[in-house]
Amino acid sequence: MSGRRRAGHVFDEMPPKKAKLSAGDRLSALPDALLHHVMSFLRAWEVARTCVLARRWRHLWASAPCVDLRVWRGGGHLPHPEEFAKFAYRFLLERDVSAPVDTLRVLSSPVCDPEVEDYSTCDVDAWIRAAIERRARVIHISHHRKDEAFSNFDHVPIISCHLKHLKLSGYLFRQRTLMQLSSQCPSLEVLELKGCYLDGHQISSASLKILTIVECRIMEGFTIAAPNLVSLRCVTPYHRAPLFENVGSLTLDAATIVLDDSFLYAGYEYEYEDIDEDAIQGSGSEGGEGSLNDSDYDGDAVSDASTCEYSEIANNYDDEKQLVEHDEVHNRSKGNYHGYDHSLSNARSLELLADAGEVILNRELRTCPTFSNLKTLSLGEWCMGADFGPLISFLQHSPNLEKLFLELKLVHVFISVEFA
Amino acid sequence: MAAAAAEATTDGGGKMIILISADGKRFEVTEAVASQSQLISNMIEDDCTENGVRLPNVDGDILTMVVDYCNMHAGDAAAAGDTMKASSTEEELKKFDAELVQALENPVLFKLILAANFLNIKSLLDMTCQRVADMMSGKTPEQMRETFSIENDFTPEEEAAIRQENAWAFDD
Repeated sequence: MSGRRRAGHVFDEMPPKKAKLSAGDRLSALPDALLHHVMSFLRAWEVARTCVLARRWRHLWASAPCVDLRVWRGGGHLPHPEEFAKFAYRFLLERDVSAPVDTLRVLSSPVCDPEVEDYSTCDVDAWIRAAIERRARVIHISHHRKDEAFSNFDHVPIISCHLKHLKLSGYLFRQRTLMQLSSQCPSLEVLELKGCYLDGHQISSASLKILTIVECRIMEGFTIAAPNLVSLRCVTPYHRAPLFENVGSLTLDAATIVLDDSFLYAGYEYEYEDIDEDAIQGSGSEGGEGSLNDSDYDGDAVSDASTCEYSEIANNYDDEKQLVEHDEVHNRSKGNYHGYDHSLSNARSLELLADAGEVILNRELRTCPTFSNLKTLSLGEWCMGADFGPLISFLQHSPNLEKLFLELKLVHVFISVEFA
Repeated sequence: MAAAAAEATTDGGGKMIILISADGKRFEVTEAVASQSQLISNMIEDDCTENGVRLPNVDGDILTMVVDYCNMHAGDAAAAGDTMKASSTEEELKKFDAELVQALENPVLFKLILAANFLNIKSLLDMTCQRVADMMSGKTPEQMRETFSIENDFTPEEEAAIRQENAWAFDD
């Protein structure tokens, strides 16, 4: 177990007993690994400047495993250097060559305001390439809030046997990149995508364990094959929902699907109207179009994530839930959801949230398998439709269920009625 | 992982284990609470917690804080494999963490970092290191030295030379 190895490791890293440091200076007394950990919460330019603090700090920065080049004013960080591209180039150049860049955090480049943020897409691409060359395990690219276009990996081959965790927002994935993620990143375990555009037909990864897809635009027929998946979150897909093929058939622990049918055709309905044989057309709906842009997820992506690295997705997800709950019109859906239930039938925890009138989940439920491992189930408003048919169906097919959560708008309605 | 260990204890009826600080203070906690420490979690797995777990690197006052933290976050760890979390407790946790970390001052903060590292409690280590980073962030080297009592052991000439050499990192 990796945890075991690390525990032993920790003993080796207890602080060196050096008398040289001043008595009150407990910071400098920390072992290198812990100072590097502290540095991982700082921006690169703040890290670099520690070289003048004292001898103890002279070369520490150069082997700091986390390189955070996110240009973002606020969050209490020192303003980034002018001529930022030059700074980043020197920073990567002057680093200790033998020290891996374990984690790279960057913001995609802005399209406007070149005076303020002096770097380009080419620079960002170069940083990512440099990080991959230096054995990066974690790459986190947030979408710049002033960049309205999708970024892409057209000039960055994502080929790495070290890359373990990729977290992106605002990226366009063409099939070539999806292929690279599928077959040329054998260590990739965590893929978190937010506001991305999956313009290909498949991602297939045997190493992938955690997959999070939030507010991504998904092309018709897009298939996800990930036999070793442990956790799956698919929150508010746009245009089409992905197809799941052999997803965590034995390993899946928790799955969350949050659907908002009104986003599932957004402007594409005519183009694809006759192509999709499985399309189910309901009654009319408004809204949906333009919703891709009006939500504030970009602001969030740029917000200082150094404080909420891992909770960001969870927070977004909460926002999403509200979005689902407050959107009243959800009657039209098109899309292939084949095998949602079947793929998820081994999950121990399942969250299927959607509003009343949800079509896809209802349809899928007709072929309801047995959820033999399911212990925790959370269902949205949709499960109350058809005389509680979906709810009853789930209960009948979940022999080991321990907890059931119903996330209903009814609560709000009830309260407003009472006070009216 | 932690979730698996926590589950095992729940199934086993919540066994208690004793943690013993460097100064001999004893803390009785459930295995679920203690196994947030990867170190202790491994010891539980290896069945060597029977006579109490001695923690020669951690003082009683620091261990009190660690145990408080773990008690507060125990439900959290149990639900780690779980997507359900009551939002009120999540808010309470955030508040608890924020208050804990804000109250931390220089010597205690660093003792807590070392304890979190030794016990291998990732969330506590992250939180405390983040606090130090926040104290460094936005400061000039001079201000950092002042905040943390870092003694500048460079001669003025040496410091000037380093600044010169690394001028790219200093805007001024």
